[in-house]
Amino acid sequence: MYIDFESPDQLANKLAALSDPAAPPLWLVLLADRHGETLGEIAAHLERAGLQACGGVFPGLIDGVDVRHSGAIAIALPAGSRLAVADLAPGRVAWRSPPPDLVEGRPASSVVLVDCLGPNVAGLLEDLYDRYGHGLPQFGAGAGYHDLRTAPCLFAQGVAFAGAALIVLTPLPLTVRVRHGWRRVRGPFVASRTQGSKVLELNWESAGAFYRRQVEEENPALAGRPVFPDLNSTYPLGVGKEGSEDVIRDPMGIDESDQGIAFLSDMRENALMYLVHGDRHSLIAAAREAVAACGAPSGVEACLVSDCFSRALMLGEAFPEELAAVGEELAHFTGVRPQGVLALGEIATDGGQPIEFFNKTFVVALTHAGP
Amino acid sequence: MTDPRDITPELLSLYELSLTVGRSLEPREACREFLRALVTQRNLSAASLWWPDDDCSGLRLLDALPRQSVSGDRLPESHPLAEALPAFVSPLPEAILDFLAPGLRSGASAACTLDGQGLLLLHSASPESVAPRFLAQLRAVLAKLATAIRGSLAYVRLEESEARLRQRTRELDESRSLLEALIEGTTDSVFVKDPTGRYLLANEATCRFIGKPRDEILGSDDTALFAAETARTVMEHDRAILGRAVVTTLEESTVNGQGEAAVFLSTKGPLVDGDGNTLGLFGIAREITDRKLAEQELRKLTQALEQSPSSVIITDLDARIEYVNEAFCKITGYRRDEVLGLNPRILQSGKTPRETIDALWAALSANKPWCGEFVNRRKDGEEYVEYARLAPVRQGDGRTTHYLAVNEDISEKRRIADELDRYRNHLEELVNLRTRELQVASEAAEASNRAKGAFLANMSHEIRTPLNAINGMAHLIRRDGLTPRQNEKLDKLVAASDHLLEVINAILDLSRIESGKFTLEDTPVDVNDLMTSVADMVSGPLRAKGLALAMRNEVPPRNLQGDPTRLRQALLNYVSNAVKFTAAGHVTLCASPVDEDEGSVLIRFSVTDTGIGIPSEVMPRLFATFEQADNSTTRHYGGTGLGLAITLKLAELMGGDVGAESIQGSGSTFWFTARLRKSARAASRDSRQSSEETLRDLFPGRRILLVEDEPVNREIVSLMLREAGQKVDGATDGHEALTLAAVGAYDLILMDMQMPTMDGLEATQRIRALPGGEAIPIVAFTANAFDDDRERCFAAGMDDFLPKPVVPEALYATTLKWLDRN
Repeated sequence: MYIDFESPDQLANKLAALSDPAAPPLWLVLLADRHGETLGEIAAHLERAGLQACGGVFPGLIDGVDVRHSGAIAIALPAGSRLAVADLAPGRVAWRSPPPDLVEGRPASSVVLVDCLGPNVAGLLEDLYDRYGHGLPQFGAGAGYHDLRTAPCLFAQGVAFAGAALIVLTPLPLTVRVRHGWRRVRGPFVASRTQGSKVLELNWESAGAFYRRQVEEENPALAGRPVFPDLNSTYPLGVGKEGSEDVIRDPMGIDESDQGIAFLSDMRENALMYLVHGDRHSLIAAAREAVAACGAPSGVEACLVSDCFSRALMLGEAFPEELAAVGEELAHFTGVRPQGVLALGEIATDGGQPIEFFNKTFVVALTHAGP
Repeated sequence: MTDPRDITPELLSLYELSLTVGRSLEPREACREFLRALVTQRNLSAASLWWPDDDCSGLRLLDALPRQSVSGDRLPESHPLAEALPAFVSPLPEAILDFLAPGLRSGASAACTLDGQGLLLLHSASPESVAPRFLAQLRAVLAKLATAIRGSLAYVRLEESEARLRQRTRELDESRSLLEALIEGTTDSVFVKDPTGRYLLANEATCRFIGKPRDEILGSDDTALFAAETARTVMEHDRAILGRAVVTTLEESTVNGQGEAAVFLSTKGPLVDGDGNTLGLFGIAREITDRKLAEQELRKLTQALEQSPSSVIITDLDARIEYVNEAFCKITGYRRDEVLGLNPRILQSGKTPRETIDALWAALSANKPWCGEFVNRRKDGEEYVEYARLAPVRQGDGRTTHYLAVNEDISEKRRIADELDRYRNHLEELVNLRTRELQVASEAAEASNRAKGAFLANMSHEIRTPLNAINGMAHLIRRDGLTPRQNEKLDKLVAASDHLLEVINAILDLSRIESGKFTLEDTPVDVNDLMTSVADMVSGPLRAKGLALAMRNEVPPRNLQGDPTRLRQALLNYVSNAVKFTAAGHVTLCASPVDEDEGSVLIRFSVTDTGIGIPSEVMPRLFATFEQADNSTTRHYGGTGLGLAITLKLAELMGGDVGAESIQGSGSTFWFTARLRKSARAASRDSRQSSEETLRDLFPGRRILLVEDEPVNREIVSLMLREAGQKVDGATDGHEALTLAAVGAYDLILMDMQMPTMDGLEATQRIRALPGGEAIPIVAFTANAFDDDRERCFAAGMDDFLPKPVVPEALYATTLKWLDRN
């Protein structure tokens, strides 16, 4: 539920009032990034109030058809949910305490929040994949600020932190679906040289020039326009994937020093990439399709969405239409409203594939009484 | 958009996959790169790679993505998947799926071999992801992957082998360092020689003993390093050991090149390589020179201990016997093996006092030695006595670890001592018996002596009393005027009386001297006066025999103290004898100082005569009691035979001696010496006026009470005092004297001692108790002439003592003395 508050104290009081003393929940608190500066205070107040809570800040909050830039979306994860925090470093994922064993309590799903500007996000996801394997639906989002500043954007156990990730294993049955609505327009290209989250070469050429050329050839109107936010908003790149949608990667800019394209997540060398393109119709249709793909389960208790901030930027004034479409589609089988975040990267797996970090993608997760 | 028949995407997919092959030499990392690309690219839910065990007994997991997708890491040989190796399998049987991806029932799965050796398992929710076409395309990549895996596994094995080699080398280096440290660090001599005896290795200890640097030792044999005899012996040993090819330990006495001798305990043996070839001889030698000496010392001590006649026992602190010597076995009858581990109380007879045992343990507990006696029992039951010395055995750090007992069987000594004790006790009994007998005899002698004294006293008293009357009467008769014939007869009477008195006095003097009751006076002595008075005393006889008397006094005039009466007596003895035994010629009287010290002068008095002389054989017994030169002379010349004996005693009492020289027929010289004390007091000169005359002139009519039970004596003395102008009252006993004294004012009382009714002593005491009685001079006037009597009189309160028989001059002098004092 959305909670508006003026002070950390007020938020703590409200959450305390909402808590069931008999079965205190683990509160997942998704905050608008305007509260980032008081994130530490909020974490401390919640801790002092005796609340179990974790969460992060995001460029925007989704509350039904509205996008909010203040307040919090609070989701009460049921008692028995277990939290773990990992610090991320290049080549290393360091858990602060042993992450919960999958077998313990038979968790039905997990929620993952990660500092999208932190290192080794790919390593974290591979660790989670190795650790929990397939069969576990996972839903999550990249936390951070709309201006991509580097600052603490996550909190748990009374403190705020950056460069880290948190995972909550919950007994909640979760249906996760992912759609983006982008289609291949050029390619394939080979990411012939990569370095972390930067692609230095595409098809053995300088990646930046190659990308710009491909976009400009596809849409001469964009000639000479900046990569961010003009080129990337309508012509991102996709990493080819057999049997499912390509994984969209959002070029954030071209490094003038090496002409490499910067992304928000690691890029696999020699991966096949495509120039993809979408419009308001394909993207909104994709969101609607994602909800529909959930299969109209019965007993839906909540609808969580992780929609990409850059996708909202791209849709602009049409973005509420996407949310409305999601609401309409939901209304076919449940009365719950979508609530969630505008994320800097979306995290999801439906349990049948490796967990993946997406850009410019819509992720919906329905919690319900049973499968 | 791309043509569906365009295989470029497929080629590029394969291109990406093939480029992941061989990117790492680490097998798992190499596999992971491939699996990561494969899973992501094909949207697989799981993939894993398997490879045969080294012994081909089954398949083991190289890597799986996700790792959780497989439940084990080894496929046994009997597993259906292992049997399906030669061909692709798709879809996978459920049994395989259970193993590969438990819980996954939907989707598609496949397995394909890696160049007929390893296995790739795939699972996807989408069947297209594992379509046969793709698997066929994948075959070439998998062949490359298999080669890469083989290469990486070989690399790993090589790495492991190199690591083992490095480890082995490190261990060898460590082992070598350790060995070198041991060889160089040990104080034992360690060396290796080649088969000809030349040193291949010599550690520091070897060099130190040989006394040469290592480079001189290496390559040399013992003949160059040791004394010739040592070298010959050692090399013989070495050859024998090499010949027998057996490790041998032996003692070797050596003398090195510097002449220093030492004994070594050497262990030597052949040094053999892996093929059994003898490379030489190794040796480890420990110098045991000190130990040998210590062993010799220990052996000596052990032998001493073993051969000690005393029984020696060593126990631990719990008194368990750890050692006994041979003497112990002989004394106790126990064999050594019978007593080891036992407590020495096995020897106890129960007759050793409890206090002894307590004292023993008290001392040992305080870490102090103890000695004492035990009554012990031998193995055969015989009891014996041991003198034991026990002591704690302390180690260098002060800890007590054992107790030592050195025991001596003193049964025989004890028996002899007991016998001696019995003798001693018997002897003591004898001595006691004799002592008792002697005591009885002594008591009898003392009783006899006391009886003799009493007899002498009584005899003296009884003789003096009538003599007093005789002398007194003769004195009074002579005053009345006599004819010459009567005068002559009276002279003889007085002479006989004087002789009798002389005899009695001599006997009494001797008796007093011998009983130790003789006391000397200490008054001024004038030697000149002394000699003159003696001369006066013999002037009569001298004149009668027509002898001349010469006097020579060489004593310088000075104040001397002594007993003039006894000096006079001694001198008079000599002079009287000289007059007596000299028929013609002269008598010479001499006095001279012979020695002088700060407080006294030793004066020699001598009397020389021209008499009959004394035979030389008689001279030694001249001064013996009752001796005269010839006992027959007693009859011829008279005398008691006591004079010289008394002179001897008096001279000795006065610190002097006596002696005599004589030539028979020519005369004799008798001398004595006496030590006189120097004094400031001068001797009073005799007044030329007699005491009688002075009494009469100065104290006429004084009242004197004469207490005397003997009527004759009372009459004579009364007459004598009245002749001297005094008034005399007579009292017959003490009672009468007390009555008279109570009423009369007497200037002097002369008091007899022995009287009926009340004796003089009691009367004196009671007179002293009368008013004014304490001031009356009371003079004892008694025939009890002994010193004891004198003391008793003084004790009763008398002031002076006048012995009987009365000598008129003495009576007058004493009366004058006390009247004058009053």
